[in-house]
Amino acid sequence: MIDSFGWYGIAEPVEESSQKVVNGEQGVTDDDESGEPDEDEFDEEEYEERQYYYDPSDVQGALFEAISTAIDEELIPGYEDPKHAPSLAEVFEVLLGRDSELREKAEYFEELISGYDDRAHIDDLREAYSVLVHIVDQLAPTKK
Amino acid sequence: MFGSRAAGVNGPDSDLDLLVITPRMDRIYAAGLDFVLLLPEDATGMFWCGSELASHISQYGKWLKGSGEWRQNVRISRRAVLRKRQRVTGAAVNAFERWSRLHPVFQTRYSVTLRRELQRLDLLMRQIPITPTPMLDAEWQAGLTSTERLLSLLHDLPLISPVPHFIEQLLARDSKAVPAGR
Repeated sequence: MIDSFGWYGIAEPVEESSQKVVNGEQGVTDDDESGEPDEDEFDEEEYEERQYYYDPSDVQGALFEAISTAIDEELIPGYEDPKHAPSLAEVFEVLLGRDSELREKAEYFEELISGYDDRAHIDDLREAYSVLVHIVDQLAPTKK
Repeated sequence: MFGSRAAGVNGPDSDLDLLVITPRMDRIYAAGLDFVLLLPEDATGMFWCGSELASHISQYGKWLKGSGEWRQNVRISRRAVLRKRQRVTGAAVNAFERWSRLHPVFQTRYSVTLRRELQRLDLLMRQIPITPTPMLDAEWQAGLTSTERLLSLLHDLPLISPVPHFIEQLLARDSKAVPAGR
């Protein structure tokens, strides 16, 4: 899941991440306009979009996959056959209790990657990465 | 105020969505509240006024304070359509690549998300403001959404076989059950 942040150029060698960060898109180029309305009052060619926002779907998908693994491995009591897709915060609440620090961190993490209008701010994604690293370190401390 | 609460189609767990036009861009986090912050100089700009979210708020939002003059400039832009196409494409590829490793509840979530995003793309391309999510679901369940049109949009996306066929199957699956929430 941490690796999914590489898509946004976070925690990845520069030479590998630079191409992905330029557009923040997946497989579509800016000159792909097929099927779009012909008329537009705005002269969009003169307007350069600020590249502060990115589609967070890749890290969201990685989160879904991680929680799915936990469910399939029956690591979450009571979630063997969930009726709704649980959040990471809900998972930690079951495992560690409502007042646990990791549940709060997980809730914050999910807020950061949720974005709005299909976009998440790059600062939020960077913060989310830091929070996730903290969570992982708490769960499986690494030697420093 | 916008979103499901403004449109009166909220559920008990729905957040309250607020657009705040302010020179202060400090992030605000509060349980049950979702803030979208916009600089005053951006509020009347072409990028905001051409966006999917601006179209939604201008049509379904409730103005609590201020003049809201920017609403007169709202017109769905080509950029908004392109971005939605990219969003659907990315979600489709993500779903396809992760599918076998996802628990069924997350598979359902992807199915619903993809169908909703195709509905939104359809609206944007027809220059229709984005409707609240519960209304999208209601239209789908009532059979008011043209499946043929959504499939046409799907096959117009830059997706490599067999992804389009895979998404077609998801749409068929989603027609059987629609969970609440986004």
